[in-house]
Amino acid sequence: MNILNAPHISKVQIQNFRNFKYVDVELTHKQVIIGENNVGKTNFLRAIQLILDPKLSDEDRFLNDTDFYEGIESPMENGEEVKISIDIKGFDHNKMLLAILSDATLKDDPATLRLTYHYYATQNSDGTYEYQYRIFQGTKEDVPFTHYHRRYLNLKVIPAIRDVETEMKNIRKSPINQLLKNYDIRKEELKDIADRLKETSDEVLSIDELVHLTDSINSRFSTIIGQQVDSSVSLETIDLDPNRILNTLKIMIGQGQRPVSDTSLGLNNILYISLILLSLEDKTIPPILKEDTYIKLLEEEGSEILKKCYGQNHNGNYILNEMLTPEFLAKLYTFMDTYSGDTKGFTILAIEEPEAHLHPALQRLIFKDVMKQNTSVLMTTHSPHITSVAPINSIVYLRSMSNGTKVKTTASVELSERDCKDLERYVDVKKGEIYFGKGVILVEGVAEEYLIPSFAEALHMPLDKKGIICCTINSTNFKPYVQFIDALSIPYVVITDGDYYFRENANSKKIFGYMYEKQHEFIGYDGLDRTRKILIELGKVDETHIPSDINDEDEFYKQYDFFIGIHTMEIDMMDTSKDKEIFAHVFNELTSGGATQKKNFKDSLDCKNYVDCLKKIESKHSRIGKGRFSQGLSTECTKDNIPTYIEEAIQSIFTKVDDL
Amino acid sequence: MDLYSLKLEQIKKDPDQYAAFKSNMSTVVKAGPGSGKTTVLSLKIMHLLKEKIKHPRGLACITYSNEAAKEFTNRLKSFGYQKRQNVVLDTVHSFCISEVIVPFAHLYDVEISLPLNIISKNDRTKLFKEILEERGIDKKSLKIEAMDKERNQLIGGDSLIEAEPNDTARKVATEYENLLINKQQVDFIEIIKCATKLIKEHEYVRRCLEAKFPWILIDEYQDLGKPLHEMILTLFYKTNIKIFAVGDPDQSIYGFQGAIPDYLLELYDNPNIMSIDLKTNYRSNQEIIDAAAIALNLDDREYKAGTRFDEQAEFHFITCEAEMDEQYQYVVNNIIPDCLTKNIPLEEICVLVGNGSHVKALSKVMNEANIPHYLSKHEFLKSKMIVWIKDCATWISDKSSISFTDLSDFWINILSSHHGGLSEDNKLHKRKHFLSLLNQSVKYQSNLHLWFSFLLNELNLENIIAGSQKYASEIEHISSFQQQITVGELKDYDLIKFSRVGKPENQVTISTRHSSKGLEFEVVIMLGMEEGNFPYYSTVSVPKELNEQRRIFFVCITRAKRVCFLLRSKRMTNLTRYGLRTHPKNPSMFWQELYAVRESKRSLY
Repeated sequence: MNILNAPHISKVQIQNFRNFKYVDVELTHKQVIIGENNVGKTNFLRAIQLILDPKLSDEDRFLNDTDFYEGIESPMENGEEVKISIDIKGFDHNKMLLAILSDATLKDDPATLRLTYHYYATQNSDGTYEYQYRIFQGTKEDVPFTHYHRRYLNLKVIPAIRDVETEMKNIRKSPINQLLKNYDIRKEELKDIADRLKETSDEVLSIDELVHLTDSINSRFSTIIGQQVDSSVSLETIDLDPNRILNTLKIMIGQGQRPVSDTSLGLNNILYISLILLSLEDKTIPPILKEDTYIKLLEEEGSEILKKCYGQNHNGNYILNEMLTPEFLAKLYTFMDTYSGDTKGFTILAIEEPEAHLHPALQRLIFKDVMKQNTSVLMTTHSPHITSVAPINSIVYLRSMSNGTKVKTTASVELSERDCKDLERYVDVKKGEIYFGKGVILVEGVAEEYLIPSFAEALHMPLDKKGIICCTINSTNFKPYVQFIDALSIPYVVITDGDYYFRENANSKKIFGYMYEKQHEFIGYDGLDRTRKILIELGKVDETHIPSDINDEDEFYKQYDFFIGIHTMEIDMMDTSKDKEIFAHVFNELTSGGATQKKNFKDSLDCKNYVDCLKKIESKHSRIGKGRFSQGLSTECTKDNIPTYIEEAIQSIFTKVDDL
Repeated sequence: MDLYSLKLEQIKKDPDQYAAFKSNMSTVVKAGPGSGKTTVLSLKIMHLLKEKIKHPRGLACITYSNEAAKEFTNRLKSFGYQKRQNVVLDTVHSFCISEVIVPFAHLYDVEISLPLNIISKNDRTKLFKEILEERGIDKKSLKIEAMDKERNQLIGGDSLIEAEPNDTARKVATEYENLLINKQQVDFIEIIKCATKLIKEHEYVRRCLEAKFPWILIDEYQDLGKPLHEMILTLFYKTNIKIFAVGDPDQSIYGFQGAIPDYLLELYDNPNIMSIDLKTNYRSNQEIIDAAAIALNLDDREYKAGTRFDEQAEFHFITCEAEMDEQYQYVVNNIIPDCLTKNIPLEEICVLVGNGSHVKALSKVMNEANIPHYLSKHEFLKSKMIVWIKDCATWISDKSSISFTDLSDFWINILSSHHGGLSEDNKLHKRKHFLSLLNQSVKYQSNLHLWFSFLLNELNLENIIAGSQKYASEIEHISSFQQQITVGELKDYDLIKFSRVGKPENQVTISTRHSSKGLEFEVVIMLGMEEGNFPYYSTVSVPKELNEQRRIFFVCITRAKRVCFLLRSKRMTNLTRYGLRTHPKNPSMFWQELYAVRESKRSLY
């Protein structure tokens, strides 16, 4: 249904709580929280729970020494305090929320509420501290946010370790029962059905055999205890108390109608999460209205909309028409919000590791469904299958730093639609690997992806050990990637080709594919040109600060993490290596050509015509290609083969990751 | 049958009352004297809360005074009302502070400084006098009320009612307001103005109010003046809040505060607001009702008695020789003994006088004659804080009469607005402490002054109130209350006597004419019915003011169920600029009009 999104948390601020010394992040309606184990994903949710979760007890809201930021020594002896604030947006279309929470207003455009948990200390005369917590609305500590308010706006956490089967069987708590409560089911109707059921089932008792059995029991029984007390025995079929008849409903799955206990854990998990989501939907517009309720509502101003949206069925109930126009729906929402009003409140859902027990394909499916709902969702995950399909702006990235876990979000990254799609596609194809590195080396193509880890190995700086990953973007459009990684505060370096060129005269076209020769007068490096453009567009450098000398410019970009070659990586490698035999050796191993071809390659190599060598590698006669050549080379390369700019880049990213 | 259903059955018999009860759109109810408006209003509130308005939304019921608000709360409780979120029964000022200014003013750029700092009554008068002196304006020519009236009228907005401008007052008003802003203080008029402005200018504020209060009900609309009227018009035009205004233009007698009947009538005449007239009088017999119509000098009111059918009214016109004292003596020596012989209990007798000093003088005479009597409307009971103090006293003398939870809730509220929200543990702790203090205070129960001083100290009340926005204005009430219990009216009271203040028990009621609204008695005795005294001489030539005097007379007569006494003296001594002077006095024009009609009626039979 086309209804406005339910309220969501738009900002979280945490001070001194568990992994977090200081955190201030913006969030959106759907968030995927990622990060390594023990980095504090659960604690991030816990911070929000302290304010919003109705299941937490008063006791739970009193913190211990261990709940303070771990960098503080004996916090409770020193009067340290914990403060957690959340801002809420997207609530002001609903009168119930306005009525209950307007005291918490932080600003009105866009309408924003703030709720704060404060664990504060008061000093005793002997210097020790007493602790109390307070949850308040807005900026004034004197307006409390209590369990009463939490009825209307709260957080539900589905924990990682969950026993779905028991939850579903629990009569009172089962999601199916929660869902039933949303309807206005009348006792009289149930009683009627119960009576008829009883009548039918009583027929069983008229079977001769059962009549005989009853008689036998009775005669046995009465011979023992005599007839003085009312002790006749009879048989009953099932309990048909109309009050309990709904509790007997069970969910069955499949055509064979298997009960939940016979279904796979994975399927049950999906069923459970779907039921929860269903029960959290905005229920301001009831799908069914009883006749008397309908007639009562007709008395109200603007009730014409009812006639347009509901039709009476043969049971006398009024059923909401499907396919209502957004305009009608909006009107109906306002009407119902004013005069009927579901008072069950809004819930923000937090799901920890939805991937548990699920096949990767199902993980993606359930995630995509969750993202479509009106309910605001926060989920933590380790699953690349989920992160890889998460919208680019939905990432909350937790990262452990020496001064506490930092939380970064992509909610406010502004990307063009094209860049956004590219990035999303990239993240999807690469299974979200970009999120899992402690540092990232961004490279142009597959050749670098093969070689750079080997180079690092050769430099005794293995990337895996540091959790550095090498990401190839298959183009030179680094800008969205840099923007995105910047937002997540992941350290990165960019390695890109220099792509040397020259021009006939100052204004003619760039000519590529040649190595430097003395007669080239107007020369340049496309790698520098591209980098300059990106850095200026991202606002990282001011055009006037860029050195005019080409060598200085190249050096200048290194402080912005861009390491630029001279030609292409292969040529730079050949040029830099003292022992060039290795290239001929790898070529000979891989080529499908004969001895002549091998000799021609060796000749080109010897006379330093590396452009020609590269052409031979890529030619259809050799059928090698850059990728395979690099792959071949990667197992054999040594320190000698590493171009300086690449070595520098590797050293740079190592330092950065070590600095954290 | 519970009280709610019982009362509901009753009003179902009166089609007008029932229509007002059922109305589902903005409605104005013009309610004549004794027409049961309070019953209708409180039943309506219950009905709305039970059937129309779902949690957590509520409604606001705005009353003229704290006493009225408290009376409403008690009445609703007797109908089974339980405290609930967003249900506000309070005065205009409290509503503006706690529902508009405190929650929203900090979000916007407003002229008043926050937190609110309310100017004391003394400082206010001082400021006003300073302006007069500086401008060389004669103190007698401009009263502070006249300035306030002007300030109220300066509020622009949707109302089309024009008032005659008073240039001097306007100038003083402007300067006064500027000085107030400089001092970073506010007074009650500024508070309503500020609240109205916030509502007018900010959609978000209106949406929040609409969400909280789908209905706003106003009692005694005619007494509430222009600022509230503008606020209500804004809410009516710019939100979907339904307005339910109850009042009687004929009982509009606070003109000196800027309250005129026209505002209620403007609402009444709005074609998009349903208008209902409650015309049946369930208090007085038809002859009293007819006499009241004469008082107004209008004959289109069509009020009919709904009780006391076939009963004759009594009108007695008593002429004394000289001075008020003779009138007091007549009341004490003749009227009251006479009533007693006719089995009319003292609590069914009320004496209405012109002003406060007459109240005191009569009280003295009654004391000498040992007639139990009681003074209606105590200034100090207008304060929520003092009413709470009184409730505490009542609880100490009789623990079953008042719930300790209510008492301690109020205390917790005050504490929270000073300290910030308290944790549940803390609240419990404060409650315990409060309970033990009240129990300790029992040792002072024979002396109100000592008892109050003990509480004041132990609770650190003054400091705590000074630090709270919502209650800051109460400081003043506390000091004037202290005055009362040390040297004033409540001197030498014990707690039992104090707890009975405001509840007549076999006592004659003495009241000023202005304060008599809402009361009813078998016998009403009106003193001071001389020309120049009533209507007051300065009003006779100003039609608007004379009309208000008529309405006061109307209010006085309609207090009576059956019997009216009018007393006057032939000679009166007044302090003039030449010293004491005695003048002959003719009967009041109201006396004469009523007398003529009664005489002609008598001659008919």
